[in-house]
Amino acid sequence: MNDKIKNEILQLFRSQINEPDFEITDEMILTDVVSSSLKMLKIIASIEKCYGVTISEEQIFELETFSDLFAYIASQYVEEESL
Amino acid sequence: MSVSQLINDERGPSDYSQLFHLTKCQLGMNFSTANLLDDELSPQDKHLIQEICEIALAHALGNGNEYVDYLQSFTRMCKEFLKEQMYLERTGQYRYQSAVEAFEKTLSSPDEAKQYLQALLMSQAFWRNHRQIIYFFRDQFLAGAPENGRVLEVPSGTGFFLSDFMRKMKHWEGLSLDLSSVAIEFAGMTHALLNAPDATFQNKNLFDLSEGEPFDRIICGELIEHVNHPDEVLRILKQHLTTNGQVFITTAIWAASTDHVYLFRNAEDVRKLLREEFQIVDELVLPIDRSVSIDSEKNAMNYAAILMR
Repeated sequence: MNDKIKNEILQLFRSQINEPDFEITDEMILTDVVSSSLKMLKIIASIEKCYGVTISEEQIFELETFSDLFAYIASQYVEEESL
Repeated sequence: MSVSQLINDERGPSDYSQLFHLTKCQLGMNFSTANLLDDELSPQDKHLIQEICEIALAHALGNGNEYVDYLQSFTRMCKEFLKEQMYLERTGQYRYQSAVEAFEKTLSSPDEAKQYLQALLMSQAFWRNHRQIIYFFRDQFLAGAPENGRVLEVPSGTGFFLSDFMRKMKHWEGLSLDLSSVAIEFAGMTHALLNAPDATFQNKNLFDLSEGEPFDRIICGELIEHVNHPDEVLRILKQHLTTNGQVFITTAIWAASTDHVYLFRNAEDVRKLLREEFQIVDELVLPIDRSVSIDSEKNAMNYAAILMR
């Protein structure tokens, strides 16, 4: 996944938690940054809309870190591109 | 020790705080319910949670395995909520647009209806907003009621609100209506378990209620989001209300469930509808995510209000 997309996704997180300068690293736990499951759903819905990927409801809460999320999106994104 | 071991122990759960603790552990095992009790609970919260766990245990006839069914039904409902909420965030609408279709797809079998009621009862303990609504009901609606009168609850749901009202207002006459015979049976049992004075439980549509003596209080919890024409429900409630009567109403805003069909996008949508027939005397707007504003839109919230003509 390129840095541009990665940064856009991080911006979605920062905007939902209302902290535009919040430092997020790959190894941070998603639910430590977004403790509300409802907010998480909003972010995921935005990611799906922007990048044409689908993350199942079960998968959302199985992804632990940002790194897991990026890897999952990247795998789906590549598949989409290769179709 | 598990919840079912505690309850099935022949000595029974001598210490109900242990029941609460084990219930909390059981809910902590699933992602959809794990964070529900993270907040600091007030003594009032602890008391209410314990009270509802005890009602559930009594409904389960003291059987530990059946009590665990209540928790599992609740966990399923929470998972279902997240799934449906995701659908709502993706599409901007609830999954079903017709109340009949939603009912047939989700609640038409007695087993599904029973699990739904079990889950709903537990939600009154474990969903913070549902607890707040019960306190609002008690402090603002129940506390102002005169000594005598007639109270209608529609739909019956778990029966908790009518029972709570009547066990404090012992000289009132109560009627409870629901389209589901399973709900009527469940609500009647809650009423008996709480030792509330006798009330009438009828498996009947509100629209088929004959014009008789009007009601001084009407409790209408979580109905208007389940129908295609909530304005018609409000109109009929008004017809059955005395001149100085009050309605306690609750609904869900941008909060999905498989059987929600009428979508309110914000609190103002609800107010606008209610004001077509009533004045809003008092209200409570509770976002599920407390960091969002009550005036925002497209955020999941619970809404409760007290209405008068």
